Amino acid sequence: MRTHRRDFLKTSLAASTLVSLGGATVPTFLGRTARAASGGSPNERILVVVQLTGGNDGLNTVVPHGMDGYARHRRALRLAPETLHKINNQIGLHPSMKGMARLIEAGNLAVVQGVGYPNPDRSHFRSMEIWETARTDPGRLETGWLGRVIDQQGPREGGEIPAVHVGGQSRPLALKATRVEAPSLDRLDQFRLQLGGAPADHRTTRAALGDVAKVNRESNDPLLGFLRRSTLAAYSSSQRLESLIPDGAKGSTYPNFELARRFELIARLIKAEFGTRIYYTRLDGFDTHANQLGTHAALLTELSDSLAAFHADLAEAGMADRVATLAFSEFGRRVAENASQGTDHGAAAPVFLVGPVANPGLVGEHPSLETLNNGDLVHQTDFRRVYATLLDHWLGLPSAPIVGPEFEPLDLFAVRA
Amino acid sequence: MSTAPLSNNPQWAWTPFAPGPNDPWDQAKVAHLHRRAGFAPPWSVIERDRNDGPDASIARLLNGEALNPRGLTASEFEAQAEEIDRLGASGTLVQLQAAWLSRMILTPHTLRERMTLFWHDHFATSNAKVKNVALMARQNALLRCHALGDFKAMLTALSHDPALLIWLDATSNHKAHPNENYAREVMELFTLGRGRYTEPDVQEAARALTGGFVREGRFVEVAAQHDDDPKTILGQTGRFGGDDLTRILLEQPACAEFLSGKLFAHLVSDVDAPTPELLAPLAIAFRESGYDVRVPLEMILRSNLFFSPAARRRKIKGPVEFAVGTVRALEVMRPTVSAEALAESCRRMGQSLYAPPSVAGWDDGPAWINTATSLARTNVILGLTADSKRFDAKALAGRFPEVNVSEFYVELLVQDAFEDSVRRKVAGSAREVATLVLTSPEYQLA
Repeated sequence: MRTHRRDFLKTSLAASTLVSLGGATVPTFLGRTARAASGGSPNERILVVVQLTGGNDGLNTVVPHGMDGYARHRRALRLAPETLHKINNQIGLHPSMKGMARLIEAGNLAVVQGVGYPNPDRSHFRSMEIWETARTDPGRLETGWLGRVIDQQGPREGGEIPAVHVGGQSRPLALKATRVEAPSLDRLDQFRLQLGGAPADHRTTRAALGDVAKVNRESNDPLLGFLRRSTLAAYSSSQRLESLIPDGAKGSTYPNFELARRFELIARLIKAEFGTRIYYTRLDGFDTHANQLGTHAALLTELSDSLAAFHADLAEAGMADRVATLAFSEFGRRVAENASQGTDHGAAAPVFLVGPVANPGLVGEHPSLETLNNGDLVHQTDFRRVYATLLDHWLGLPSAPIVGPEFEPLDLFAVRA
Repeated sequence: MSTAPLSNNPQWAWTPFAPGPNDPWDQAKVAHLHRRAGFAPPWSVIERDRNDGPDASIARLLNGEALNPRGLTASEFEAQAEEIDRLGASGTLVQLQAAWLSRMILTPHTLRERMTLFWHDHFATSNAKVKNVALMARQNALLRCHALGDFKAMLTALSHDPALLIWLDATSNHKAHPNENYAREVMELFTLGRGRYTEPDVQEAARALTGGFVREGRFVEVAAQHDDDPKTILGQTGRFGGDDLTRILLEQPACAEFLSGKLFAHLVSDVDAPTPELLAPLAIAFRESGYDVRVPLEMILRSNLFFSPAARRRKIKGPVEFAVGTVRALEVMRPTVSAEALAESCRRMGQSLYAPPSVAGWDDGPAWINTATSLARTNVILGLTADSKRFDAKALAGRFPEVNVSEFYVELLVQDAFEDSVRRKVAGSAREVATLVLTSPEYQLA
């Protein structure tokens, strides 16, 4: 274990100095047509996860306008059926979700209804822990589900970064692994060391900074070991990413949203064949206890327009079939609205999957609005079955060691790994 | 560095530390005390406290120094700081952040500011939603006023604090539709911790809070909207209102245990969680004092455990303590750094004051560190050491000719954290030496 980690550090450092993405010439994707047709070989497939934090009101996102209970439970917050993007005569998407409605029409979006887990917890933090670790047992929160994917893959040849968190907040628990620190990235320019002085001195300064963190003997101090690994990873990521300068000549095709900007960054890394297979980002603000209508509409516009632009960008590069994007929230909200034109913490909610899906549109039935559990929707599909699908059928990794053996994959992907 | 586990002997752990021939009072312990209970100290403070011994050093932290780093008396400083606070409260968020940072840099009472920051993290309220800098400033003054005092008074005041109530959507609590958000968070995050209350407790507590409204930036109680029927909260039944809820929460042994656990994590270790047995004496003393925050604080700071290897370098500095400690330790006082630029640096390192990411505050410990924040820390240091007008590395070390330059920066900033192999790598000009020590992984440890 100890030598293993040291070797990994050594390879990733060597790689960072030897493998450069090379100034202006960003390697282009070769043979994209052939691969697009087959959905790409499993080890070229990419997973993007978008966490909608705060608890998204599923009922006003994928709206059961044709079910009696909807108008009964939602009075101030009721969305008029004629404004919805109808999927069938019962269900429609929120009026702000035109982009995602078009993704369904084009065959690229599946909406898995009623996703949750047994004995739902209404605490944001606990429920996020459950989703991010895929463990309901509080004693086993040491790693995230994607962290276990990183651990299982082991150090990657060429020192590629297995997973990247895109965003300025703290790294999500979902990416927490035991051996590798997944880096966080907000803007490419954050990755430049402000070395100052003459460019000729930069190499010496950089080397000296790295040298202090580089200790050949593994420290037995856990915190210091972590800091040394993180510092070295930061310096090596910095060197690799400095060459990915934004292409200023070409105007952006993305809408002016923070989430869109992050997707654009992810697309740029994917198109440059950065080698990372897992990207994770968050959209915050779904905790709509009061005056929900406007806030929620703005959030869903941001989500929907950003996802649509991301998909269009990847499609233009011929890479849309290699990327699956999952959007989920830690819980839905109560079926009944509260007195502040908002909703309180609830349970089951829909999740979204963009990519080469098998059956675009709705997957599974909408949860009953009559049989509720303590005022909440009852989940039909355990979220770990969605994870198992992404692992077994998309990334081509056995799901049992990561989420447990009891979760059967769903039929979500057109071409399976 | 060794990896000593936490002691499981509460008797020994909470006995006040007494230096002995094998465990002397040295520079490393003085710096440790200041890093945890204040900010990284300048050379003169390390030397003075090393000579004065633990009792006098800890008493100065608890009561505040007579003079601030610019030589102002505590009351002169306070008058000046209040002036700056007023400017901040009528300015932008960055100006308000800058006002607090300048207070932290210049205060003669570092422990009070560290604890104000601790309570800001505990009652984490963000201007992102409150959108009112004056209300955020009022909450900050309230936290500072009670930071080292009576937790009950603080909780009572906060239950009427407009900024907190706006943040938690509790500004209109109608009788017919009690809002559960504040009721839940006060139990989960402010007093008891998860698992120490039930869903019905939350619902009943929400009823006790009905009638509370925020109107035009003020808390008001509307009697007609208060649900005065009996409620049962945590086993007690009565016609309870908001103040009864506060009383009931503080009567729970879980409350003192939860808060002691947070103080422990804040002051002692990010690495090891204490056993309930180890925490018990702290929680009992806190509760029996009627929730006087000074009691557990003083108990921790004086303890054997606090000065033992199990507590040393067991925390990662947060961005604000990293920034303020660096400025204080390097005595970057004249001309001072721009507090607004410092606020921006803190944001890039992952901590925007008055804008914590959620009601749970900032995730500390290893969560502070990722690629972006690591590079931001390095860039803050590179920016500072390149600015010779504000920081002259050679001149600072030159004031203490008794030690050579690299020894000076190691002893000032990291003391015994450097292994010999790392110490040997620190060489070059005074500026290079300072840069290498300040960007080292060891310097990120508190």
